[in-house]
Amino acid sequence: MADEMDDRDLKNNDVKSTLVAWRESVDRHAERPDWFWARQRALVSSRMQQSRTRRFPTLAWAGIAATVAVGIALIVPGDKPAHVTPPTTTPNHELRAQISDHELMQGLEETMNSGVPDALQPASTLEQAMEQANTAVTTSKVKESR
Amino acid sequence: MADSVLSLAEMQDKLTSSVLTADDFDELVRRNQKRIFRLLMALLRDEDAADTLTQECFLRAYKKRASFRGDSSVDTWVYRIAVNLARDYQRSKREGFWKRMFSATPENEEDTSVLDTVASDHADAESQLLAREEVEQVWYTVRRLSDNQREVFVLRYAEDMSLDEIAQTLEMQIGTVKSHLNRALTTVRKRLEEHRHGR
Repeated sequence: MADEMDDRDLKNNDVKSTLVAWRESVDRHAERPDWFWARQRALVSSRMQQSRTRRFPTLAWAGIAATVAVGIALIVPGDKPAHVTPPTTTPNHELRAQISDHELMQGLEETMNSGVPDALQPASTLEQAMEQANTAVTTSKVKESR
Repeated sequence: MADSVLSLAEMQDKLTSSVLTADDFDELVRRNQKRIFRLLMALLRDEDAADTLTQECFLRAYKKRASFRGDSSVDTWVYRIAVNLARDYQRSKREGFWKRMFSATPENEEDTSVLDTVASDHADAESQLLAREEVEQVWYTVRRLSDNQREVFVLRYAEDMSLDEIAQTLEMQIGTVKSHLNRALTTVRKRLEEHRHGR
């Protein structure tokens, strides 16, 4: 503390000794046992933790709300199917290039000859089975009546 | 210093880049708590207030760590927070007159342990008494200085800071620091002289 203020203000006067005594008095006032400092650190640490957890709920609630929203969106079935794969559309001019007129005519002919479209084949099978069953029943009734 | 303990420069870097963890902060508290408590005791002479404000000082530093720009050292920054807290406390205390009516006045307490040491050079009991009374007069006067004068005086004579450090801590020009210090010293000296002549 040896600079101009000391030289100008405290040299050759007894205020200096009183100020030194006062500083030692401050030391004594601030002296505390180890447990005091440990307790103070614990309190600061706990208050810091509180300030962190006080901020946590806002973030936590935001996270929870987002999770719930996503969960609901996944669980509740919507009007649209979950996975809609867009049909792979081939431009007409490419189709024309790929399939010749002859092949197209062949495919059409096969479809006409098959009688039932592939997608309806189970229904036609069922219809045939029902017709057979009806025929059998009618035949047996005719025999009984005779 | 152990490897796990951050150096002041490391702590400053971490604080500037806002990556100071809670553990680092514990280290900051451990490093500065005694000095901050001592400063607050010198400014306030109130154990409970100094304890509470020391805790508040570190909590505030933790909350405002993002605002630390590294213009000064971490220690100076924490000191500044403590001085501001003491100033706010003094103001709120001045406003709450009734509190003083019912609280003990610390300046009336006798600081015998210190003064016994201080006065040990004096041969007779009267000298001891005089030294004790003079230290008490300094405490009394410091409490009645303006905020700026008290802060400058305490940082200078209790904390042993250079004028530069005081200027940084209080964010003042050095000329202003000198001016406040001169006024504070004049007031203290005048008070001591009055006391000596009045005996």
